[in-house]
Amino acid sequence: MSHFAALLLFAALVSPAFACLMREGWAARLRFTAWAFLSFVGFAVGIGWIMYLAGG
Amino acid sequence: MAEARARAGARQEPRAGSREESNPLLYCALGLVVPGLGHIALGRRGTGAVFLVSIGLLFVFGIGMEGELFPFEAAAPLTLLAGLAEMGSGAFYVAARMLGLGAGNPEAPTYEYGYAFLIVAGLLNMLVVLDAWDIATGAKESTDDAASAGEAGSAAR
Repeated sequence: MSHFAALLLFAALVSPAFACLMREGWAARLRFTAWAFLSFVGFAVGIGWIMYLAGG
Repeated sequence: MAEARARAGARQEPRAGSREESNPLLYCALGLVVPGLGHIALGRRGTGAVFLVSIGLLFVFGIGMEGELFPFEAAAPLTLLAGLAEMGSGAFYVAARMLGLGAGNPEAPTYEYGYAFLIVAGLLNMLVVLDAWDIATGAKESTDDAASAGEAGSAAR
């Protein structure tokens, strides 16, 4: 399994659990799941690029 | 203003005669043994199922990635904390120990991901148990899954 696949898997599994903890109602939970998933992936990829560029 | 305060106060009181009033510790214990079971016992079946599947899959993938179930070594505090966090997965942890899984393979490329999945599964279940406590004591506004499903349905329409 690649690192990126592991990241996607982690984000996909943790996001719905956070959504159920932090939001009431399935519509709000679905929106939060999508937001959390994209945030996990976006921040990881962004930080990865920062480390790559900073590391030369 | 006073009316809003009264409403907020009333919401935080356990409902008289409701099952939430019976024993919050029971729901916490159920949730600690099987992730999501506390919520299911509180009547929030959909929410409990999400927790069971999410935490269960995190744990299973963690084992599959050759992550390690850390031993309890007092001499290594970080290892001890990691082991305690992993124990939060309850039945999954016990089953893996009984089956001899979770030895871990530090040479595997996914080893670090594996134990991160295992630790997060345990810690996430601890949050879920605290959530069950909040619902059972009335500290968190409880909307049952049937109402939530209806809300989702009306939003879709």
